[in-house]
Amino acid sequence: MFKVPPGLALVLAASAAIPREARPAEAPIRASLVAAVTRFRPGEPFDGAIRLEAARGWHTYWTNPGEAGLATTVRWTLPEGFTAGPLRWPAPKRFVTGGIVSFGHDGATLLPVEIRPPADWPAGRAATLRARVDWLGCREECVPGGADVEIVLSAAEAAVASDEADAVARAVASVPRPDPRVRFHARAVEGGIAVRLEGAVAEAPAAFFPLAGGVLRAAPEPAWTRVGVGVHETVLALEAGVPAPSRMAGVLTFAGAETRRPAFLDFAVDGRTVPQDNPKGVRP
Amino acid sequence: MKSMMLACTFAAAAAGFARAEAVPGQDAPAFKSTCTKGTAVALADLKGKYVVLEWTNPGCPFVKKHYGPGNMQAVQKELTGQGVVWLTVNSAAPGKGGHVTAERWNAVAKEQGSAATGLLIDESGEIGRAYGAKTTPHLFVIGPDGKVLYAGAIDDKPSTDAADVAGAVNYVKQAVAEAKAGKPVSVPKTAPYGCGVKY
Repeated sequence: MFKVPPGLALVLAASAAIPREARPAEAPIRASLVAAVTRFRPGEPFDGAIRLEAARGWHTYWTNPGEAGLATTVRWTLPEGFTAGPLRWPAPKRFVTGGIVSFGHDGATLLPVEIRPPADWPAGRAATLRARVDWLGCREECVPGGADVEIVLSAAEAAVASDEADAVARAVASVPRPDPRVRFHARAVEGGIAVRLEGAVAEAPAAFFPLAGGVLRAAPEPAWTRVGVGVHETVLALEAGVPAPSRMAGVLTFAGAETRRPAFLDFAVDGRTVPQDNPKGVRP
Repeated sequence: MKSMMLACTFAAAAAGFARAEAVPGQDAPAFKSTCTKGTAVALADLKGKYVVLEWTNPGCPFVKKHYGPGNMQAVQKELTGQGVVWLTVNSAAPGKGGHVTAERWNAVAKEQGSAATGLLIDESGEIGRAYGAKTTPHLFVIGPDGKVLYAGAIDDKPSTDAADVAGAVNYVKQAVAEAKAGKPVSVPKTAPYGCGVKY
């Protein structure tokens, strides 16, 4: 058997490439697993993320998919001693198809996850993090999809940032969280929940995405009325025949969201004003 | 032949419903239509019977989840065997994915082994909008008194995975069984899951 010089082998491989027209159509949704580090420090949590790339016109779904669709799910297979936190969903967008409103993500989306490695992971030993990601991708039609994704990291005395570190950090920074500037007042009214929001001075509130499905009507989008400086009111319409819940949680986006992080709200529907100053944890 | 098919595909929701939604405990929105086989169907004529309305779209993966392994057909067979009238409705608009002609749908239903009493093409979306049908599948159960007993998902496992059917609670069977036993329906409303109806 004669030996092919490495350079020639490369040329041969390239010329044997599949003709363009024989390539399969690009998948509507592609998933990968990324991390903010290439090397982690044992015992020190770091950020990973599921990256979803939706082809033009396609989208996947938020944790509450809205009137139709299905949330993306992730199941982890991690090395012994590793744990993964819950998906930290960025604020979704509204997608309206034939009057049906759903909540989801288009383009490139990172769903951050905190990964906690064990304190006793030996230096130099590779750790392969694996996840099964399942999604529903839709434009007008819907196609379920899934992928087994993985990333190989290793341990070091100090964590080493990856090329993805900035993108992951931006994704983490965009996850909705309780906003101490916001005060929220909610009470049940006929067919809805009347809310007053204080603390949106420079940016008006835009959409409210409830964490739970089947409670609020997704359409029409609530219209906010400015009733004072930084004070806005609206009525969130309940689904027909659904009583007002005693508590609600969800994500509030602001007009000009680039300048203000979406707020995670968790409030009692009892007419009391609730400061959203719980600094603990980022939810959802 | 062609004119009969057109007659089949013309669905007219009758006047008289003030709400744009079917709400458990309230009167089901009235409708009149013609099934794909040409028979006239009016909800008012079905008083005294249990009626199930099932929104569908043959291309939807959630619909395929329930038709692929024969789950939807089994539920149809079981309930129609008890005298329940089961109407499967397609509200996809012309030009939208899943829109079907009567002839095509009859062939598909036969191939699938559908045990529905009738298939209704609602391409104007009038019946779908009157009921607030949002997804495929989306199911409604109407009692003999014409009131809505159940509105929502087929079962409690929102997924496209056919393997989830086995352990799921089927809300439609549960609602019919409870109502027939003279009990209140324990779960009268759920959030439906599926593809959006292609109005």
